[in-house]
Amino acid sequence: MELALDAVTSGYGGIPIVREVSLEVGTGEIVAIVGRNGVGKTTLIETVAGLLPVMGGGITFRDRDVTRTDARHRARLGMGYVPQGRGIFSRLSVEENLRMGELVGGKRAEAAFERVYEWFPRLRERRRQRAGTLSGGEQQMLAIGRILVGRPSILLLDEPSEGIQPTIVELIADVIASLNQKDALTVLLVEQNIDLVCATAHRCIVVDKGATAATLTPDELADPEVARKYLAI
Amino acid sequence: MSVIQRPLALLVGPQEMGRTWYFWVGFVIVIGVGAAAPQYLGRFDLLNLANFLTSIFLALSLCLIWGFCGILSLGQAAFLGLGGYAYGVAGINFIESHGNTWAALGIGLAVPVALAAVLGFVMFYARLKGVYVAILMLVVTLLFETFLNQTAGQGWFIGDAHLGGNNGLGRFSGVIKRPPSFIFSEGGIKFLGKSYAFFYLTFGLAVLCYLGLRIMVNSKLGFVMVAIREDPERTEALGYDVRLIQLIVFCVSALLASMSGILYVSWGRFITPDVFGVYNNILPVIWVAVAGRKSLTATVIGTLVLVWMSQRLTETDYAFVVLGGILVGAMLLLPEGVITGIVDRSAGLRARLAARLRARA
Amino acid sequence: METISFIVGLLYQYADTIALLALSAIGLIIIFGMMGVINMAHGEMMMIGAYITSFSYYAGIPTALAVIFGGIGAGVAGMVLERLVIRRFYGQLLSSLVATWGLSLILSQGALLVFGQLIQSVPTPFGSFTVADLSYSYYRVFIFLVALVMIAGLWGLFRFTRFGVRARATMENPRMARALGVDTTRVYALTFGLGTMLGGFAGGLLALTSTIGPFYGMTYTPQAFITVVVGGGAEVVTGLLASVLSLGAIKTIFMNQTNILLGHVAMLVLAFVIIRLMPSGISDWVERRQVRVRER
Repeated sequence: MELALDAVTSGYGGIPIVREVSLEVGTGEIVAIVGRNGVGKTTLIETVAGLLPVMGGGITFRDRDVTRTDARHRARLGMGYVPQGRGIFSRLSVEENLRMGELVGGKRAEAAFERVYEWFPRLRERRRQRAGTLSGGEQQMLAIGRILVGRPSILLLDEPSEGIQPTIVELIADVIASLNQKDALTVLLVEQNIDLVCATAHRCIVVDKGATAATLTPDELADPEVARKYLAI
Repeated sequence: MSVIQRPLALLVGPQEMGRTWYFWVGFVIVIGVGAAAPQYLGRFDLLNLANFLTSIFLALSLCLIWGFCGILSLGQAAFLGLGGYAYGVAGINFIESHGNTWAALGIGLAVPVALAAVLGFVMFYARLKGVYVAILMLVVTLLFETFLNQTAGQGWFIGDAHLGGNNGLGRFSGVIKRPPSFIFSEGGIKFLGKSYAFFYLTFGLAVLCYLGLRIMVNSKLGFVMVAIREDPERTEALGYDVRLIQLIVFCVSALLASMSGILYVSWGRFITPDVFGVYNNILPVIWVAVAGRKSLTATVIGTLVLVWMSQRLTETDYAFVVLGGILVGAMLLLPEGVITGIVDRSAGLRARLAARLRARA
Repeated sequence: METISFIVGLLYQYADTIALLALSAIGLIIIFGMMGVINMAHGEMMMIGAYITSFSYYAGIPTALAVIFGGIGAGVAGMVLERLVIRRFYGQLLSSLVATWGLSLILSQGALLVFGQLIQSVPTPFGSFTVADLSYSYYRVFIFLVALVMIAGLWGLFRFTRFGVRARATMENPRMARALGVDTTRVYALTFGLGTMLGGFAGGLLALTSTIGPFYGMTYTPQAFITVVVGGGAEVVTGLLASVLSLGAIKTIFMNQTNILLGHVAMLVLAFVIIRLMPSGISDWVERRQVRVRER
């Protein structure tokens, strides 16, 4: 079991948004969290990453209780978090941004710059550019590449396709799928884009009003009736 | 409403502590004791007390703008100093032709208010965030201090008044003219600095200002001020001209600060650029932050206690270290203020005491 | 001959003014850029550096080493302060200003109690040189060069070292840095220590040009703080440079034509105008313009 949440409650300023959510992600699984806007998907993934303290319940990561562990230790244990909006450091160069991923997964093995440049050749071209000058799609490649420079065992992605052109979304999806197959990279992603979800995920968890409402397969989600029921699309 | 109740209603409201009968009884007692001070205090102690009282105006000026309007100004000394210098310069120039200091007083009050209006316009109408107002005021006070420190040369006269550089206005009398003490009428009452008339003047003004500010903060203007402090955008969305109100309150606070300066000059008959320095800027922050900036009463009490305490401590040289420590402690532990904290926490206790007293009566 | 004399004199004054502003502000701007706090006790860090330098010198330690000790001492003192007080005010510009002002009072008055009114001084090294009948101090030229080296060194630190990259990332987005494994608490502590160390070092250097007393810091805090606010914390090195060059220029021009105090006044007026127009500082304003241009 890569990641397990046990009745986790969390929120901001004492107000619970995520209510007693339990879920499990097996090693090598790609799990998507779907749901309408404002149901607590981002809150949930921030809690997993450790940026939001847990108000109740517990989180286990690779057989280790990380409920009270700080975000920076979770990163070093192998959690690679990419927030909504990418979270790249616009004042740093592309290369420097990638270097910031070195600590993910701990200090073992040298940073894997070369393979990141292979997957995302555009980043190599723009190595020395200030990251703030990159387009949205390039920034997303950078944000994900940054995590992959280290040795993450799980990717936590919050809306990776938001505002990105489809070709780049595809490229990212390919890279993730390939890593998932070869290295058993686990992925937990929050996504509104049904196509991406259906193309990559093994399983979809629907979240509504801060709690898990259903678990679907991508095929089930592809059905417009089902999509409308759960996602108000 | 009876004759007593109507003015009381003006003075009382949710913005300021003291809505109970025993508060006002206490108030009257304190006024009585204060007014009788010349009976039991020697000349030195009386002058000392009068000096303490001049700090109240500076403290109230900051309490008003910071506690009630949410704008911290780190340069209230600019108004204090400017008021003092303006009064001094005008006094020196007009004392002979007028025979009294009314014009000087007027100018001493008007000049800082004019500066406040200009600065307020520049700052508030640019919608600067609070911290930048604080910083800009600090720059202004530094400006005055630096500028006046270089006015030692013979050319720096305004009329008959020599600005005197870092020796200031009125130091080393003799050839150099000194600012006059208050003189209010020809041959009539002269509020000369050395008599107990000065005490009554300061005391009376302090009481008047306190009551006047109470009326102000409990009026509709006061409600809007607090609304601006809590949420400026929403207040603006409700249709209030936030910038104008901030400007007005800023000017009133400048007026109060300048009173401190004017009283200081009329008492000592000299003023130096040091008044613009760090102490007059940081002391009111300490008093108000420690006492409880959101309350006029807390500010007055707290200021008097702290000023008295610093005077005792000056005898052992520890005054400022302790004050600094108190400020740091207050910022860390009691952001609402000590007096306010005591008052809030004792609310239950006081209510029970009052009930018991009333039952007994 | 007169023009040469005038130009050399002006350049010398400009260099001297820049050196003074840069040295007092360099430590403070790092702290401001990183944690968003203004340490009004920075002058007292300089004072600590100055006192340590002086005592070391009179204990027989060579001057250069004495100045370095001053820096180290102030750095240590700063890290203690950070642990006890400063870290509760991160991101709160106004509260940190007030609280550290209180610290400044404690430290300066405390120094008064400990050292009394004793004024110390360390002789200025290197002597003087003449150009066209006017004499100049080698040492003041020296500290100008030191200031340049310090700024260059800071730039290099942020650009080329691992700590520098992580520090810049933390400055921009501490939450994301944490999510990538950076120990932001330690970055803050080290940055604060670096800032106070630079302040102490500057205090030691400048102590060789003036006298040292408990209120030594009070001369420097106002100009340091103004330089920092005008420069802005978005890009520490460019902000510092833009600030000292502009403020220094106006101060030098007025100082040259009138007197040093009026030069200071002119500088304050310029500072007021800049803060009013670019409240978050020059570097922040420049950054926003670049973003806006890009978005068009």
